Amino acid sequence: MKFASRLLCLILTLVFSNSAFAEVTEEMYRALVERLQSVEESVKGVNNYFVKVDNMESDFAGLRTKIEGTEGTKPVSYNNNSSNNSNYDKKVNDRLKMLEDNVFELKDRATLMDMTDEIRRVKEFVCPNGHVFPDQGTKKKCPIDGLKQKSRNRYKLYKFARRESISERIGAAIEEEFERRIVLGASGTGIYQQIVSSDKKERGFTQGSFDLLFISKPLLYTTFFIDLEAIGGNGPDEIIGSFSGINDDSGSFQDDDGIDRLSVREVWLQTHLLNERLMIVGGKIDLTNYFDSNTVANDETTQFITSAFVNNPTMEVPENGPGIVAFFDTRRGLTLGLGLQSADNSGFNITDHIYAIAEIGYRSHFFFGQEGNYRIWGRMNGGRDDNRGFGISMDQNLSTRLTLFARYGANEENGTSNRDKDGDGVIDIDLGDNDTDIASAWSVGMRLRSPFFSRVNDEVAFAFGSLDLVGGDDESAAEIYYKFHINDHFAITPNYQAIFDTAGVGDEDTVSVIGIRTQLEF
Amino acid sequence: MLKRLSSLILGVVIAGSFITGTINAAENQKSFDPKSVVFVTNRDSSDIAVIDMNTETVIDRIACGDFSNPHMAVATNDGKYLLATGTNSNFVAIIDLKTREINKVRLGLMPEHFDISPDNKYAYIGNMGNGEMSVVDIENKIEVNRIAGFFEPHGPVCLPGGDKVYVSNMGAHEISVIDVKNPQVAKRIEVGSAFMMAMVDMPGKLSEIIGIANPTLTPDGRYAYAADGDSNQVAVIDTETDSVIKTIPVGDEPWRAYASPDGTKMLVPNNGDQTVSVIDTKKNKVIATFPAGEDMTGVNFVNGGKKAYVISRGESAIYVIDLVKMKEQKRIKFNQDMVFETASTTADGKKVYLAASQANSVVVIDGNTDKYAMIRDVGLSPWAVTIIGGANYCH
Repeated sequence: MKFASRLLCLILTLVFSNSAFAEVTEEMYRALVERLQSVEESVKGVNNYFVKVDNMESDFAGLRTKIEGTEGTKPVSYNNNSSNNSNYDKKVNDRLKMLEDNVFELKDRATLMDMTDEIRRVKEFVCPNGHVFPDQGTKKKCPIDGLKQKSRNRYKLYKFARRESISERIGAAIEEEFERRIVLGASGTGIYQQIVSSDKKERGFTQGSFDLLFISKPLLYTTFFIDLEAIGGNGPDEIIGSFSGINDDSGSFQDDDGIDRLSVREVWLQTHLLNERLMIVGGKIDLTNYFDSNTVANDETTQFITSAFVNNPTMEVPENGPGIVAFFDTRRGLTLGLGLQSADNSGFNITDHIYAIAEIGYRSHFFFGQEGNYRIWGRMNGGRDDNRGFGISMDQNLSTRLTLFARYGANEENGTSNRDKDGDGVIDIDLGDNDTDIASAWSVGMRLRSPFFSRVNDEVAFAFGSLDLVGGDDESAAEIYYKFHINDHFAITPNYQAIFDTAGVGDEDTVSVIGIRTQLEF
Repeated sequence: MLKRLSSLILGVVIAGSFITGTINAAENQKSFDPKSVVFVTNRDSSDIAVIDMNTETVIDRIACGDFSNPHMAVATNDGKYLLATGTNSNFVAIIDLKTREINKVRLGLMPEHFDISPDNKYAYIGNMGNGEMSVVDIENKIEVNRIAGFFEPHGPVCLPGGDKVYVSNMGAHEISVIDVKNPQVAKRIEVGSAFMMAMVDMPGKLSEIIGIANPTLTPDGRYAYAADGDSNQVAVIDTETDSVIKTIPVGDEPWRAYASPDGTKMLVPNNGDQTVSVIDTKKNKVIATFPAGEDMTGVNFVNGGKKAYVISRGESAIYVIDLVKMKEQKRIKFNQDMVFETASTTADGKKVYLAASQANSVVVIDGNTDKYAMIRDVGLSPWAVTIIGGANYCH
């Protein structure tokens, strides 16, 4: 474990030092300017050369005219019909043709022309049958069929060739590249959930989250990512004690004050090596982004909101913290992944209590040629006395619209689990207890895309799952949702959730919740 | 003694290499039946790969000129000539497939797509850079006309009768009609209803126009279907009167229409909302819409049009649609480095050859089983695939 910790520190140091070296120093800037000046000198030389090529072109044209003779006149040296001269004539012509081609090609390459697009608004006259004219016909009638013309403004793309120096082009490219290097994205989720049946008081909850994403590419194949998240509201999990989790977006029980929180959710540097087959990510990471993934059930903002259907509860991944992930893609459907993360996300001690996870993934087309993804993972939780567990996650297309998913996971059992010890309806997390809470968990479900002819990008999905707690209790959960895809940036998702035998409070009550979620992305 | 022996060995090696090289060079130039091969333009290696359809191997590479960046290739129906546009060097290479003689005819800026007249005499080539169409006499290897007045002429199509050429304008929302006898723009036909065009926020789109990629003819040439990317509509043009007889709304950002072999259906990939619209050409209405993938570059029909392969470049995948039952069958997913470009269906409709530019490969798909094989190292950045008598297209 010590070796793994040192290795983690070393790799993190290397990854972050990579970004430090990416900065442009004053010296480098001067060197760049000098190189640009030298390129400009070269451009001047090329321009002179280009003038020479232009002159050669006119020389060749004159020479050709001389040889071929003017109208009614034969050139003096080719006025007999001997075969020798005829062959010679052909050879000269071929040679000239070849030289002409070369001159044209040189001209094409030497010309530093830049194609410029310009879209212009043009007024035109359109007939009912679609015929277009630049001018209005006599008596506003269409010249083709005599129908009435209408004037319309249309946009058309015009192209121009503009001479541009190499330094201008390089300058523009650098500027464009710089603009591309930082990308800003945002997504917002608003959720209303109403408890409709429970032995608790039936009440509504609102919760909202907003993510601000910064993506930068300091180097080729290297990405720097920051996710700032603000959350307001704890959702129904505030009063319903369940291990399945009714609102995975709320981050329930992170704080119990119920007020808005702003956190740096993720900060990492990602790089690709070995012809982009090996991906390495280091920083403050979320391991669930890389392990136990699933096409149908893996995102609380766009898919199922019940925590048990977002990731396998037996993973027991610590809160986002310092860590490193390496994934190798064999490009033959097989992927291998390894992740190490500190169980302590405070940053004070990142080498003790390491959470380690490894995964093997396989993409197949075994089922009637339909795509399927199968993953098996094993983990060791240093934060809980090296407790071990394993799990599988699979999704299989039955058709291009219908996809099934399933998950299973199991943990080592050593003793008792966390419970609602004081009977107040809230699970008491005992940080001193190093044992796991969940012995095993499974879930299955399906997603149907474009359920109706006119709603191509909508989807409906259903999931059911159960988890066994270490103490022997079990709890089940179900969810169904329908996502209305309004456009690429906005979706509305009504859903229904039910938790059976909420194990956290040790009763056999069934909690039913209806909700609606809006998701905005841009 | 040792020195002499070394010299002898060196001499033998050099002589052997020379003889082997000569034999290989002779073998590389071996002749082939143009109707039993697939031609693939390799944009970065500036040559055309010749693939034998019986052995699925590359049997030849025809050089087109350094850095010429050949975009599209089409062979005359008689198999005599192969034409390839050298987009970077502004020419069309006319290759005599028997003698291997290559003649380059100089054109306007950035020639890309073209069509050959049904009598194999002329090629109509769109110069994307300066908005002109070049008319090339194939037999005499000269440009006989250059017609101005186009806006990124992306897809020319000759009518089966040979009297008209329809040219789509990618930089405008119109189809231009060239009269072959009097080579000039005879008519301009607007695509996209006034109502829909008014809805398009064009002032906000001043940086880009997504016009018409290709007019697609029905097999008898009676109608042309032109999809307009900005207005999300397909116009049906009567080629006898050159009038728009129907405007059909489809999905977002339609790329172009692809005609089924029997002409009863047109499939339109919509890259905006990532769907495929199926148009019934008798009723001229959308009869089905299927979910599909990102950045679709083509549609190929196999088994007489019973099945369609929709190629998604963005997802490195092929969506398979059963056109008899009118339902999707599956998605065939490839590795991420398989960036698909264009594909061609063989004349018998049994196989599809698909160029994967980033992998320098061509994928051969069996239309019956959907199984595929890879032909590797065909050249650098393979782009356009063409088969004599096959269903060819380019993008």
